[in-house]
Amino acid sequence: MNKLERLLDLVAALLDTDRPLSRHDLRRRMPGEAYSDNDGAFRRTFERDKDELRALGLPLVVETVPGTDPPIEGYRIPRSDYEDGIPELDSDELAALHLASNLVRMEGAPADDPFFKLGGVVHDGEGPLARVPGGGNVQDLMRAAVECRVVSFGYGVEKRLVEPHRLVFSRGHWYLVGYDKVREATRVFRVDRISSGVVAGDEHFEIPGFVPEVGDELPWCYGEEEPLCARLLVDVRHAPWVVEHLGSAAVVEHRDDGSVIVETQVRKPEVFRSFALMFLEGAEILEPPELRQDMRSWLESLT
Amino acid sequence: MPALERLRRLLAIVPWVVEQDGPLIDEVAARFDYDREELLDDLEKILFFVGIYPFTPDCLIEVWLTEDRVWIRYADWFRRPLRLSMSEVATLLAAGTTVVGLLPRSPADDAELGPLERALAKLSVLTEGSDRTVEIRLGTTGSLLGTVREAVSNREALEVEYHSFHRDEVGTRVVEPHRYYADKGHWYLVGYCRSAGAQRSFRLDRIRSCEPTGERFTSPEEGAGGPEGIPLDGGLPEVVLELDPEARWVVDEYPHAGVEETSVGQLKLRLPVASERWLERLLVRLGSHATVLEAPDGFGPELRAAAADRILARYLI
Repeated sequence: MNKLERLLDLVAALLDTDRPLSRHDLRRRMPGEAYSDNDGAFRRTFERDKDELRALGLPLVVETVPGTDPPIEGYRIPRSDYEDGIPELDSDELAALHLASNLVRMEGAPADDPFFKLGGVVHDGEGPLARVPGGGNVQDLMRAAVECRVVSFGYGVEKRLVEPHRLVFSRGHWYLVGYDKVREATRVFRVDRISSGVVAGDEHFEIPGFVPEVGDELPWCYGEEEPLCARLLVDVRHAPWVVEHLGSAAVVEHRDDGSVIVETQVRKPEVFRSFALMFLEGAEILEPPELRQDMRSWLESLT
Repeated sequence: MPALERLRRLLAIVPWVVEQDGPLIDEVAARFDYDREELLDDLEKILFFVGIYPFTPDCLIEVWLTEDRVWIRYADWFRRPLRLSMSEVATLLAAGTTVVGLLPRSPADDAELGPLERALAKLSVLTEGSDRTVEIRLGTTGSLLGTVREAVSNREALEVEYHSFHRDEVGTRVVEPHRYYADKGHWYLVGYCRSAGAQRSFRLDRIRSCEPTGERFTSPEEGAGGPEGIPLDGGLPEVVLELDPEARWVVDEYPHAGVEETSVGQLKLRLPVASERWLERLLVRLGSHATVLEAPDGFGPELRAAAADRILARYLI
């Protein structure tokens, strides 16, 4: 029998029952040619079918078949778990939602899958307005966050155990807000600095009543180092952009020649140095002395 | 299409077709991205035989096909599509909320929610209060995005004062705006630049001012403009850099003409050079994490040393 037909029959049998069915019960309720007569081959095929249905998102549950001793594992798909969670969308709502998810397209996520469930894709030919990177760790973290599962990952050279609370895409990067269980504090992590895969464990957490906002902070402000207060002198040509980028609250002095001095907290000196160098000789770190010296040493090594 | 992909679609197709009164097969194929012949085969030769024990006719799905339409009945097990997963809901909410924040609302809209907002309200019911688990911020653009959007839809030329960061020049030009988009946290405007006589793209945060000229244009969009007003259709000099792991971000940040991994974990990257200033900036930022392997005359290590000297002068006083 064709695999597609076998899986459709299996899903129908699992949905049709109110009590868990053992592997052998299920085999008896399937067409004779669905599985091999050989017990070992049947078992292997059945296990693979089960895994593949789960991977598609079907809520297959395992329970003890009532009245069995020793207990025998039984399977079913509870109807309410299968169905509850499809909003009734009118066609204009569906079209608007589809357009929105095309406009802001998360890379790495299958764009059309949810829309098949919602009644199919109505093609509109609009190109994406924004592409948001979303592969690998972002998808895994998102799944763990919505399922309230604790994750572990490498961050720099350390290993972290974190309750993932929120994911925010800001200034071109994904940030994770979560409770670091080892440090016993809420932290913000930059997802692209996660140095390993993200592993979701079996431990669950309660969604806290309050999750701190991710500020639209500047990339050199993230980290756990003691912050330094830096002052940067920026020439007239670059001044408008810097004021826009850092916000006018960062400006501590407007000079007559049109240049400005901006002040910012720095936790990642190397990131701030790289930022200052974007202006070449059009900017100068004035304070603190250690950042000034760091820049001087960096430049001297290049001349 | 692999069996699992077809299964995923069929579990959605069956309840949809049941609800309709004999939809066109072509429409089903288009909506669910299914090859028409494959769909007919799967309906006729597979779904027709699906059911539950003991597989007597009253326990099977009924599929009825005419030349161009399909009806499905008695598919009670598949009467509803599979629920959305929580990450699907979170992704849809994040995308939808972002778009709501971007699109202007006309005064007429204020009275009631638009279809997108209604859809999001229905979706957020599914999240049990955690509907802000995922958030996408595309960056603020002030009023500029509104001006640009209006000019794009009205096909109206814009006078743009732009700071080309690559060339380190500020200049005014007239642009026929074709579209705008956000990428890696920045907004861009793509259009035909009359001064350059070619398609260019402009980063919105480098636009100093932007005024509609009142003049309509008819030029179609042609080709892709490179970033920040630099053409990428060849003709630019190229350098080859060897990058340490610390400098890998360059690969994601700039359009390049090829990258390969070397045996010792470094990357060999071929980069078109938009301008001398651009290369200077990149090389002083990368410092010893990048080595110039090949470069046209004047674009090698001596360029980096000269730039570092000029900056250093400010620190020696």
